[in-house]
Amino acid sequence: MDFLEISAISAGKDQTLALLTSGEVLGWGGAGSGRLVPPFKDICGAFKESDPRPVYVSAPSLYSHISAGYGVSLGISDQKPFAWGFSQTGMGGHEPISEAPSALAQVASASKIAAGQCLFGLIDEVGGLHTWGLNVDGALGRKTGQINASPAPISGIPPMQDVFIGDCFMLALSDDQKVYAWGSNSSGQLGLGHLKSISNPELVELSPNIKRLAVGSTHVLALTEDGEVYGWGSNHFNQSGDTTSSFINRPRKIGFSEAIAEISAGMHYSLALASSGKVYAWGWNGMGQLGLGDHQTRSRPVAIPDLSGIRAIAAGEMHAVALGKSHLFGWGSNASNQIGKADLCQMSPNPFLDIRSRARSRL
Amino acid sequence: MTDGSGPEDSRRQFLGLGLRVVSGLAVSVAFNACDRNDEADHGDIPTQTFVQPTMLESKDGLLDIDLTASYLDTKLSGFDPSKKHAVSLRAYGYNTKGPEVFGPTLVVKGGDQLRIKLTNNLPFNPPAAPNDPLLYMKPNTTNLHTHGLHVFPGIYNNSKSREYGDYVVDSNSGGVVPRGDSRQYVYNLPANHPAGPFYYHPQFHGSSALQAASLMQGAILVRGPVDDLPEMARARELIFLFQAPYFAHDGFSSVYGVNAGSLEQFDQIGNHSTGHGVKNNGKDYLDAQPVLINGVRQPTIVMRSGEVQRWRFINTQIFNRLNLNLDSHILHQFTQDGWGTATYQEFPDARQNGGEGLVLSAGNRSSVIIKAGKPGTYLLRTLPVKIADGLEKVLLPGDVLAKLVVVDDRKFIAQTIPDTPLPVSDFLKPISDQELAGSGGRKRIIVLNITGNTESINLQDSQSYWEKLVATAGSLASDTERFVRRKLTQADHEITPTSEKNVTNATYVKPAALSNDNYNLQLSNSIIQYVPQNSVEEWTIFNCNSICRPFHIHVNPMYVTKVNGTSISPYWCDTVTLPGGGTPEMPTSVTFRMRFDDFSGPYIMHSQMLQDSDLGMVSRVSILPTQGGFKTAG
Repeated sequence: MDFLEISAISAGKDQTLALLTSGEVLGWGGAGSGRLVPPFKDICGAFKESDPRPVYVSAPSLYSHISAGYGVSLGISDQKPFAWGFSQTGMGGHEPISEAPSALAQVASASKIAAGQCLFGLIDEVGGLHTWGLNVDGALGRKTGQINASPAPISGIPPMQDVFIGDCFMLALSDDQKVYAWGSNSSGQLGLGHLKSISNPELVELSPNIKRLAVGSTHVLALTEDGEVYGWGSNHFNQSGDTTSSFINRPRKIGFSEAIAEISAGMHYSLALASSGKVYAWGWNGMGQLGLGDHQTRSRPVAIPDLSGIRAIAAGEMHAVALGKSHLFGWGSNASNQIGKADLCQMSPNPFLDIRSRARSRL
Repeated sequence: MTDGSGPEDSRRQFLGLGLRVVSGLAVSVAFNACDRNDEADHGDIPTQTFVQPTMLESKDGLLDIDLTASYLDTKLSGFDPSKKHAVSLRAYGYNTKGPEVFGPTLVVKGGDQLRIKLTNNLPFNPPAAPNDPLLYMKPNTTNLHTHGLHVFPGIYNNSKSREYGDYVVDSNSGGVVPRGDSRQYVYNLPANHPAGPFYYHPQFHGSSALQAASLMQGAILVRGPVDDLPEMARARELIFLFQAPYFAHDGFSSVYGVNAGSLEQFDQIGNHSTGHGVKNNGKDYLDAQPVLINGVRQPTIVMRSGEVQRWRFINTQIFNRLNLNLDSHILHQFTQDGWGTATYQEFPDARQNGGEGLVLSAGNRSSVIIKAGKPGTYLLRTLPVKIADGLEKVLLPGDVLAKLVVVDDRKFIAQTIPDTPLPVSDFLKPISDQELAGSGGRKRIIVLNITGNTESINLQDSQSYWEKLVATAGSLASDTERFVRRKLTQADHEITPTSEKNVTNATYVKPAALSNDNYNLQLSNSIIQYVPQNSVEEWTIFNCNSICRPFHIHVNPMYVTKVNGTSISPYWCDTVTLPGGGTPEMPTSVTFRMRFDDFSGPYIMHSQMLQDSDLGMVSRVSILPTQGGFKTAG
C-alpha cells in the first residue's frame, strides 16, 4: 500500500506543512511552504498568483520535526536544524529568499524546534534551549550584543523539553513540567501578573503539571496532564477564554465539558482538540478561522459541527488545519492557498488532501 | 490665487495682510493697497519672488475638484537660479486650468468631504520589449495618494458609480490608464481629523518615483481649532512644496536615450549615479536637479520686522532630506507632519551649534511659526545632513533654499506668536500600555532590507553586497540592478536540482524561475500584515542598510515610542526616518504604536524613497472587519 501517512502538521503565517511518516514534508501556501513564490508585479496580486497544489519541501535528508513560522519554516533532519522560506534579515547563513532548506550550522543538534516572527528557538539533545533572531523586548531570553542574533544557548535555566514562540516572546516547558516565560509582555502574555517585558526566563505560577503549551500572537494556552486548559494574555476577542477582561496577566482556567488532548493558538483565536476527537474553537473569527460558518467572535469554546475523529490540530495566523482519519481539513484564510483548493475565506472545515487513496488526490 | 473670483478660492482675501500670491507667477511688492505707506518709507522694497499654488477651499463641508495629469512644457531653474532649462514633465492641472509646476492647495477641515476626480491625459504608455522594466513600470499609468490623511483606503461599494478612497493597491494592469481614463476619489475626513499639512502625489506601483520626481504633487491643508486662534489666523500663511524635479541634461554622462528636459526612464532616477541631484564628488549638486520651492529656485520672501508668519513645509522629494535652518531666527514647530502638538518645538539657528536643524525626510511635513527679527537679509538653508551612516557614510551637501528679507516698518504693530497650549485633536491622545494591552497588543516586526531572491548572505562579511550599495548616495539602484542580475543567474542554478521529483498523491509544482527583467518588482505575499479592526498594536521597523530610510505608512499615523530600542519622548507622525548605519546583523529600528479603529481595507507601507518602493520595498497592510469582542460588542 502507498498511503500518505501524516505524523505531524504545522501552520504558520501563510503556509501549512505536513510531515509524512516517511520523513518527507508537504507544503501549501506562501513563503516557507517549499514553493518559491515568484516576485509579484502587483501590490494586490497575492491570491491569484499562488497555487493551491502542495509541493514537497526539498530535503537533503528526511525530517523528524517541522515548525511553520512567519515566512520561514524550520525542520529537524538527522538531529540537525534546517530553515527555508523568506527570512528578510537572513539568519545563520540562510539565504533571505530560498525555499531550498539550508542547515543552521551554529547548532550541533536539535530535538525540538520553533519558528516565530523573525524569532526562533530549539531544544538540543540535552535539554539546552538555543534562541536566535531579532531581539525585541528581550525576546531571546539571554544577554547578547547582537540585535539580529545568531543561535546561542540560554544559561542558568533547567533542562527544557519544548519551546513555543509568540510575538517577540517565548515560553519553554521544563522537563519537570513547569512553564518559563520571557520577552514582550504587552498584554500580560508572560502570565507574571504585570505588563513589563523581561529579558530572562521567569517561572510562571501555575500549580498543575503542564503537558503542553500553545502560543498565539499575544496569548497563551496551557494543557495540564489532566486534560484541563488555562489561558492568559490578550483577550480582547475572548481568545484567552475569559469574558470579563480584555487582557489577563495570570493563568486562568477555561471550562470544558470533556478532557482536552491537544491545544493550538493563532492570531487572537484558539483551538482545542478533545480526547473524543472533537475540535473546539473560540476568539476572533474575522476570516472564518473558527470553522463555525460565520465571522462572529466566540467568547467561549464552541465545538465545530460535523468534524470528528480528529487526530491533530494546528492554528496558523488566520488559518487552521486538522488531521482526520482520511483527510486533511483546512479552514480560515486561504489568501495564499495555504489550505489548498478552498474559498478565500473558508468558513467551515474543508477536506483539501485525501490521505487514503493510492491514486492521485483529487487536488 | 489668481484673481480671487472663484467661490472656492483662497481665504487669503480676508487674512488682511494681502500679500498677493499668484499661481505660477512671481509677484512684486509684498505690501499692497492697505500698506501703501511702506513703499513711501522704503523706496527700494525688494521684490518678493515667492509664489505658491492656488488655494481651493471647501465650502459647506465639500471641496470637489477635477485634477488632470498631463505634460507641462516649461522652463525651470537649475542649481544656478540664473539658468533656466526647458523641461517637459508630467504635472497636474485642475478644473479648467492646464498643468502647472504644482497642483493646487486643497483646504479642508475635519468632517468635510474632499472629492477629486482624477483624469489621466497622459499619452499611451510606451511600448516595452519583453525584458524591459517598462512592462511593469508604466510611466503614464497613475493614481492618487493623499499622503498622511486619515481616511478610508478602500473602494466604496455603496455608491452607484465606482468611488475610491485612498486606494493605491492597483494591479499592474489597472490604475488610471492613459488617454482619458478617470477615477472619482472621495475622502471623508473624520470630524476630529487633526489639523495640519498633508499632500497628494501618485502611488501607482512601479511608476510612483518617476511621476513624483516630475511635478505631480500638491498640498492638502486640514484646518482645525488651532487655525482659528486669532494670532494664528492673522499670521500670513506660506506653503512650501519642496520639489526636486529630475530631468535629463546634456551634461549627464548617460541620459538613457532620453531628450534633455524630460524624465522617461526609471534608470534616470533609479540607476543614474547622480539620480539624486548630487554630483559624483558627493559634495555639491548638479545644475539640473536643484531643490525648488513651488517651482522657483531660491525665491525671496519679504517680511516686516516683528511680523509673524506660519509656514507649511512639505518635502515632496523622493529621496533627499532637508535640514532646515533660518539664519538668526527660531522656527517654532507646531505640527510634525500633519499632527499637531500643544507646545512648540523650537529650532533656533543651528549653524554655530551642531548644525541640526528641522530635518524633513522625503514625505515629511512641518508647520512652523516664525517672527521676523531685525531688518536684514537671512537665508533659509538646508544644512549638511546625513543620509547614510555606518559602513558607508554619506553627507548631503548644504544648499540655500530661499532668501528672507526683513524690512523696517515703524507703523507696523508687531504680531505675537500664539500662546501655548495650542488646541490638539483628541484623535492624538497618547496610546498607553493599558490601551495596548486591552486591544490585542500585537508586536509586529517589519524588515526593510535590500535582498536578492537567492543572494547568499554571509553575516560575517562586513563588506557584504548591500553595504556597497551606498558608496555614494547615488549608487543605490545601480547596484540594485547589478545584484538583481546576479541573483537571477543563481536562481536558475539552484532551482534545477530540486525540480525533478515525482511523488505519489501530490503534484509537484516546479518553482517558477524568476524572469530576466532588469528591475523585477518584488512583493512577497508572505508579508501582508493582516490586522483585525479595533486593534492597537506596536510595530518595530528594522533597517538593515546604511541609508537613513524614510518609512511611510498610509491611513493610520504612528505614535513613535522608541528608536533603536530606547524609549524616546513619544510623538505622532506618518513618515518616520529609520536611523542609518544598519546591517542585517545590527539593524537599526524605530518602534511605534498604532490604532486601527476607524477603517477597514487594504493599503500599503513603504520606503518613501520611492525608487525603493517601486523596486519592491513596499508591502500591504489589510485591516479586516471584526464582529464581536470587547470593543464592538457594545
